[in-house]
Amino acid sequence: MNPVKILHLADMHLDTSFAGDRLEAQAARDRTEELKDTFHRVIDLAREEQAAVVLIAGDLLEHKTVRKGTVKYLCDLFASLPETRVFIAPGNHDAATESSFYRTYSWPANVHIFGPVWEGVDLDASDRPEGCPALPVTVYGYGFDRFEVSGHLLRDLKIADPGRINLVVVHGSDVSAVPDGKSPYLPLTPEEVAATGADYVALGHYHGARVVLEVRGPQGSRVIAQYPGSPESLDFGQAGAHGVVVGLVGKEQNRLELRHVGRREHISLDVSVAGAVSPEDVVQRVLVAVPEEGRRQHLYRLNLTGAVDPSLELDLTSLTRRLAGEFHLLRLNSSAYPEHDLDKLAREQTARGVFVRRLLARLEQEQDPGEVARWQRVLFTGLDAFEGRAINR
Amino acid sequence: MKLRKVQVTAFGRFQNLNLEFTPGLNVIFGPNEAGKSTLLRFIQGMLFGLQKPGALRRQALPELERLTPWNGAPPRGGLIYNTDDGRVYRVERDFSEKGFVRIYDATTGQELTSRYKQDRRKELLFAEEQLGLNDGTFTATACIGQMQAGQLGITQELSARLANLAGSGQEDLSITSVLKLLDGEMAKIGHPSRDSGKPLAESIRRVSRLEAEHERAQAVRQENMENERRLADLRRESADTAGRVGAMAQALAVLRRREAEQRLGRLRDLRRGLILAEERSIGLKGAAEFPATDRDRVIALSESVQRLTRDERDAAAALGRLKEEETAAAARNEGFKPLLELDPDAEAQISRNFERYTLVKQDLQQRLEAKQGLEAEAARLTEGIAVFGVLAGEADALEGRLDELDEQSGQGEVERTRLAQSRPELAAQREAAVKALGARSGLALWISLAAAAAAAGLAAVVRQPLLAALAVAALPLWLLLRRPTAAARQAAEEAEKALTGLDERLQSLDAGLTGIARQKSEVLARAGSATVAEFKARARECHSLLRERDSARSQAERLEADLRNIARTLQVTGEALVEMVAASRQVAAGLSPDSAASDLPNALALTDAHIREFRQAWVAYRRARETVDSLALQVRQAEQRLARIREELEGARADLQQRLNVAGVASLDEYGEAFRRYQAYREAETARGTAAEVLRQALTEGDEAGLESLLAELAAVPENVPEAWGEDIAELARRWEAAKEELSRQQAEVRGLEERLEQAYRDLPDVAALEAELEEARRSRQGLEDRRWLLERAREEVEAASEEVHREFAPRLNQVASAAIGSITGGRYSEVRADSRLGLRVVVPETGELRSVDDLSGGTLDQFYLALRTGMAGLLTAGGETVPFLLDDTFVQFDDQRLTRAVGYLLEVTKTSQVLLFTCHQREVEAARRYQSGVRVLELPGPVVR
Repeated sequence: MNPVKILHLADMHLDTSFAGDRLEAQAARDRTEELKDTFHRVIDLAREEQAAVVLIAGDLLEHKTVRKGTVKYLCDLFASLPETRVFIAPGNHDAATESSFYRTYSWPANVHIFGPVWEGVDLDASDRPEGCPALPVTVYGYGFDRFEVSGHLLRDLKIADPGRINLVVVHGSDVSAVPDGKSPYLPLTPEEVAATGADYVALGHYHGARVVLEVRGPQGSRVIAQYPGSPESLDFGQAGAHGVVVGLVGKEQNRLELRHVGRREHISLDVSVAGAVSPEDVVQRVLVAVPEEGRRQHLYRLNLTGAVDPSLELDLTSLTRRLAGEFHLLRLNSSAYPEHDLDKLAREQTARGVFVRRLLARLEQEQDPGEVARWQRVLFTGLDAFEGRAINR
Repeated sequence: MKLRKVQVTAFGRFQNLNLEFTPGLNVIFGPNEAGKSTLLRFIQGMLFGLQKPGALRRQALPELERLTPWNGAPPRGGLIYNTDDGRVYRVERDFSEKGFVRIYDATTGQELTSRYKQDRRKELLFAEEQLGLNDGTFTATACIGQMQAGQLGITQELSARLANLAGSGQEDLSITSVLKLLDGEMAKIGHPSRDSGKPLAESIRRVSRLEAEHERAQAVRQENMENERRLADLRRESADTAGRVGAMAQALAVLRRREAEQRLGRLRDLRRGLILAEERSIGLKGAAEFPATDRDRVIALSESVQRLTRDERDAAAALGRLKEEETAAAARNEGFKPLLELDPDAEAQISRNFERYTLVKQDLQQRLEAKQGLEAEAARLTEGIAVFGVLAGEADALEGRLDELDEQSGQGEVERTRLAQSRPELAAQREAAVKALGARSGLALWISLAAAAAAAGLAAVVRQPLLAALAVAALPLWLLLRRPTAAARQAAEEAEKALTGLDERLQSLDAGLTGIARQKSEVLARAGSATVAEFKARARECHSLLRERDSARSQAERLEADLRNIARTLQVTGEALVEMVAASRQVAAGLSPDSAASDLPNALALTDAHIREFRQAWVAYRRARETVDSLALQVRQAEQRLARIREELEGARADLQQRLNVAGVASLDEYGEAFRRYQAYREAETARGTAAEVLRQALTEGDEAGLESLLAELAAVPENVPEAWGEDIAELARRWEAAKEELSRQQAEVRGLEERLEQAYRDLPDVAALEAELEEARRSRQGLEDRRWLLERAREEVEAASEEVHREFAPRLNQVASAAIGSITGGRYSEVRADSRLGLRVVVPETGELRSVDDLSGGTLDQFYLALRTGMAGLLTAGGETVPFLLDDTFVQFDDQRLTRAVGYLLEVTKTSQVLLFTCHQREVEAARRYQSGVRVLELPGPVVR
């Protein structure tokens, strides 16, 4: 039995608002267009690779913000691959509710959208779309019809004919390792994946690429289930590689690889500004820390660190504005602190001394790092006042 | 701590300068520009380094540049001092950027540098540790600058400065300023709800606005998506409907073909029927001219002729019969000849006389009856009067006697009543007199005798017994009245007598009254009445009867006369009647005037019988005459009727004949035949018309050619209609139309919805952009809230710290100030208290009242300031080590007297602490020299011209 060529993607989040990136209106629109361009490259890749099956494991769209024009754009692209079968398993961000475009828009014949019960589609069925080859392949899928789906639904999946090449596409959470800030909708485990007997399980939900199940086969190791990550990096919180999975799935061997298709990456860096006395010092430190080609291409989140002169006000808005021309996108945070000799100040037999002692005592007791940071800022703000100045800490 | 020796290798303008100090007062004199301040800075620098107090980083200070000697040698030097525990230290320091600091035990030469901590700037903290003061506090407390010339308010400023020092650690920055600064920062941000227009409130408003906008946009979006769903549904429905419409059209075609075939067949049948009807109509064409409109008239005429012929026969027969009857009646009237000879007016006259006779006769009868009634009444009355017997004649006399008796009786009764009423009074008088007198029978007898005598005398005088009795009674009374004042005895006797007289009089009256009553009874018995009233009623009745009897008698007499007159009238009337009615001749005989009174009823009865006989004859005659007259009339009428019938019959016959002629027939039978043919023709014509109309109607729905071409068109349609659609073409057509309407409505709705959606998509704000903006606004709000939170917490903490310091500092300040004031005023005052704002007040020992320190004399104040200023160092040091005071031209504005006193106080200070007074004036030197012991004067070399 010949292996089948697949392209597996997930978490495109088309028309997302990029609220997390704090983009200006125009920048957000540009980014939205870039995301569509990335999707265009994915379709081009499918065409080049002559993929017989495209598996989209959820969150293709951003339900709350998606435009009808984007849906049309998608459908036009899918229609440009008439011999490729496209399977969409809607996820928690693009649940196929009654009023969603999945239900109201007229999708091309080669696109199949899964609903809230497991369904298997035989690629050699007689009613297959015109022009699509008959393949001994069955694609199983489950689609969200609401924004929260719980329960280990993968256990319900029954593969009808293990003799065929069985593909599964679903938007679910590998609960063996849930990334920070992710809600474990439709939980699943590698064991449950293995129990399905599927030849490949195309997963979505986690934005970083990750293999969930890899087994030893007669011809070496074989990846059975994985997350490809979002094709384009979507925010600073998404660690790991991004791309789409392309390759062959067969009964004994899967030859799959992660292809990079994203245009930009989200990069988070700490930049030390220790000893800086003036804003110019800070700007210089940042420019030195981030290479020029990188900052023109990618999206940076920089965290300023180190002890600075107490009189230096780290006005992040003003600094960001000064650096804006040097970066495609820059987000500045600061954990830098003013360089006070707190021990010495605490020894003073004055109200300032008492103030410092009180706050140091409080910081000593505080466990929560967030609270520690807040109370440190209270300390520095008070010390500024004792120096007769007001600085936005 | 006491400074012993300064060894400047190179520092500013100084090169290799060595100075030695005493532990007491050292006056360092040098003119302006001699380098006093540089030397001061050297000493501070040796102890704490040259950094700005509080700064963390060793910075390239402009000061260092200034203090580097002109030849570029590194600024450096040494300082030897001892601490209060007697240990001597030597410090060596190179102030240059890569310089050093080292500390040695001056006694042993051992380096102690490593024993001391360094701060993050690598500054060695030996001095801070030994003094318990950091560089900032040292500068703030140990270094004393110029004192103000003015005295007023000095302690306020002093207090404030002390408070600042204790609060912020800096003499010129107060806690109030620190708080004010934080408040100012908070005010810039503003309160979330109170400060509209300020950034925080604005930011909150912006978030709310954006949230509302976002919500609206989401709602529109949701609506769009709902509409998309509806659109999809509608399209499906529309497609279904379109399918149904097609299927119906197909079924309809099948049914139409079937119908067209049926109609075509029917059309052909109709045409055939029409041809047949036309042929029949043509066959009967000849009958078309028949004057059918005359037919009813002809029938009526023929019936009239028949009826009139019958009537003629009957009328002729009736006429014959009447004529016979007429002849018979005339024969019968022969017996009435005499009557027929009567004057034509006789009947009227008879009638009038008869009426008159009848009236007179009735009157006569009534009067006769009246007369008889009156006579009977008179007889009855005479009988009634007899009942009254004697009364009838004597009633009036008896009545007069009764009235008289009544009057007497009434008078007696009145008298008796009056006497009876007076009797109880007399009895009472007698009782009273008897009581007064006792029971003297002699007197009583006398009275009785007197009374009897009086009564006897009077009785002879008065005939009337009643009056006599009255007189007997009146006498004692009169006596009694005549002698009211007589003796009691006499009164008693008189009373007794009067009473007896009265009683006798009463008896006499009663006897009189009884006699009167008896007389009345006798009178009534004679009149046959029981009572006077009855007697009077009977008397009245008797009078009335007498009057009535007299009246009846006179009326009867008048009637007698009337009857005679009436009898005469009757006689006249009867005669007149008899004259006219021969058959009643004897009537008059019965009516003789003389017999009126005695035999009138018989005469009347005879007359009435005659009259009845005449009347019967008359009635018979009248009837006969009426019969004759009636028959004559009937004969005339019958003759007229017969003539009329004959005329009518003739007219009808002529008319009928003329109409038969017109119809071209000879007889009525022929006429009937011709009419039946005409009818058949008419029927044929109607049938032809109907057939033509039916055909015409059928053709309005299409002719054969049209149907044939329709059939040709529908030839391809299958044979049978699908069962679902039924066989009813109209019903199916209706359903098909309804379905088409529904389809077009659905299509319109689809188009409408599409347009609406298109517009809605155009109008929909960029939700993603809105979300991004909202996110940004929320972050901005959060930033401001965080900042406000920070400032609030910082303010709370500063305030808390300030309060804490104040709590600790105020008592210590009181202590220091109290000690100072005691020593300065030689025990005059011993207590000073700092108020809540650290204002200082002295306690007046005599009264315990608090006085402002400003009230102290100027010299005392100077000393007080110095005492506090130096005492402050003690307050602020951690370990109690004494501080060397560095005074820089402190007294430059003092006059000599104040200066002397101040220097005197400095010598007090030197009992515990070392003082270095830098000055450019000889005055201080001189002032110091006045106090010989413990004062060292050092002169600095003059300025070096470079």
